[in-house]
Amino acid sequence: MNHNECKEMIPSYLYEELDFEKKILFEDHIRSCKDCANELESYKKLFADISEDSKSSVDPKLLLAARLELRGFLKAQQNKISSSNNIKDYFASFFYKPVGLAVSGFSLLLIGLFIGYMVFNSPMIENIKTDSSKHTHIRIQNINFIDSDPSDGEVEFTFETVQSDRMKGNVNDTELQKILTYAVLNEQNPGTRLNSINVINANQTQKPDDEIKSTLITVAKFDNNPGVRIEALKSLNKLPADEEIKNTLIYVLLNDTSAGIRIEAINGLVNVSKTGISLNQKDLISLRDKIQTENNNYIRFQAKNIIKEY
Amino acid sequence: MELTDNELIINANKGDVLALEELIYRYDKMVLRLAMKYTGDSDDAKDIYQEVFIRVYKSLASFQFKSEFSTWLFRIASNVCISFKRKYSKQNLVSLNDEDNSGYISTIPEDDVLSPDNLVVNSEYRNKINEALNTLSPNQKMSFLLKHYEGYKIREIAEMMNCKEGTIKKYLFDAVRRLKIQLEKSY
Repeated sequence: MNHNECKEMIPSYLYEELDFEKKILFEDHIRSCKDCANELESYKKLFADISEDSKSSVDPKLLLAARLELRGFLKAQQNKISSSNNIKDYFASFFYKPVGLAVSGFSLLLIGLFIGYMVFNSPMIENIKTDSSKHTHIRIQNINFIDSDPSDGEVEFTFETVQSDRMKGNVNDTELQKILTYAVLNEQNPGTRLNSINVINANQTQKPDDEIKSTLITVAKFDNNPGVRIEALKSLNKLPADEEIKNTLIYVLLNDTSAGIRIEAINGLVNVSKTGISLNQKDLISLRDKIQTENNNYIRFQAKNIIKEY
Repeated sequence: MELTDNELIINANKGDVLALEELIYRYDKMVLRLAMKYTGDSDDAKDIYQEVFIRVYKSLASFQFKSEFSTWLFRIASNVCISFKRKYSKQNLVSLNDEDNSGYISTIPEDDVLSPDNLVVNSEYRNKINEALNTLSPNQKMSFLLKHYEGYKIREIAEMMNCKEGTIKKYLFDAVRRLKIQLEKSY
């Protein structure tokens, strides 16, 4: 085996891809050739360096932001599905066969019995009844069937037990802000989501933490209610501009179906570009594409103004 | 008892959102890390993360259980990464002074006392590796990251990238040779 053949084989050797005969020849050559042995050592060092580099992990803040955004998308999808199911169920109810009605009735009876058992026998409820100072009570909601067929004598479903509580405090209180942030992302009622954003917005005395900002970004992009999306966007526009906010404004500008919200986004983008946050090549390509497809004159005009500055 | 991936998929396909979240959270760090290493940019990595899991969500019902879920997931992730790169043709994603590269944190054990000099050397060396990785072709880079950063076998990578094992070996061997040359330039 000559030098060139040996050096060519080093990666195959390190990945243990040489057959037995070639491996023996390779190792014999390495033992007798200092040059090739040094070459092998330098490859081993490369593997060791890469192995060390591979131990790096992702920034937890980046992971949290990515998860929040994804959660917003999934939640929006779930809302769409449940809305369409409700419509389907409404129309389907006119066409149910008598057998279907009997099965549904039996299932409802089973649920009723189960809920009755939970409500009247749960020691947790008794504890709460005797502790009036907390002003709390528990209710059951969101019953979702996993197996609704009672023909085999068993059904399966998930449900949530919700404990109500009351809170009064300063708008700057961290705990209060945390609960409202959760509400912005998870509350079913758009009015409550809107109120929660307004309260978060009222907290002008201190800079919102990253979780609040990430939540506002998620809501501005994915909430299914346009009123909530525009409020979230307005709140974001009041925060100190940064790359994340800029990217959100561009995302909303490119994807939102409401012209009013896109106008809020382009106005935000104009302000962001004045604060020294620069647009990169990808942003400019997106803006140029938007000018071609946008049917709102004001948005096209502002987008052109932004591009002119670059 | 912890549910298997397949059990979580079955539950998720029945509409159990918590099962879907649990399934995603088992692997999402790895996907984000791969995307971060592939692009060298935290915003791009986040976009890839979203795209991968939106595709997972939309096509989970068609998962055939013929391969491991992780293999299927990384097949999606490698497709999204490679097409993302091609879409924007971004070059020189990593710069020594680029603050966007702060998406990584060091995992040096806390009891290892490192001087500021060592930390700088570590960070600089990581940047050099990133720069060298950016000289690879998309397929070479993806094969290399799946092998060395995610620890998959050549057979598994071939399945993920829908290639023959021989093709993956060629990608890997070429990648290693090129990385060695690139890193030797910076020594």
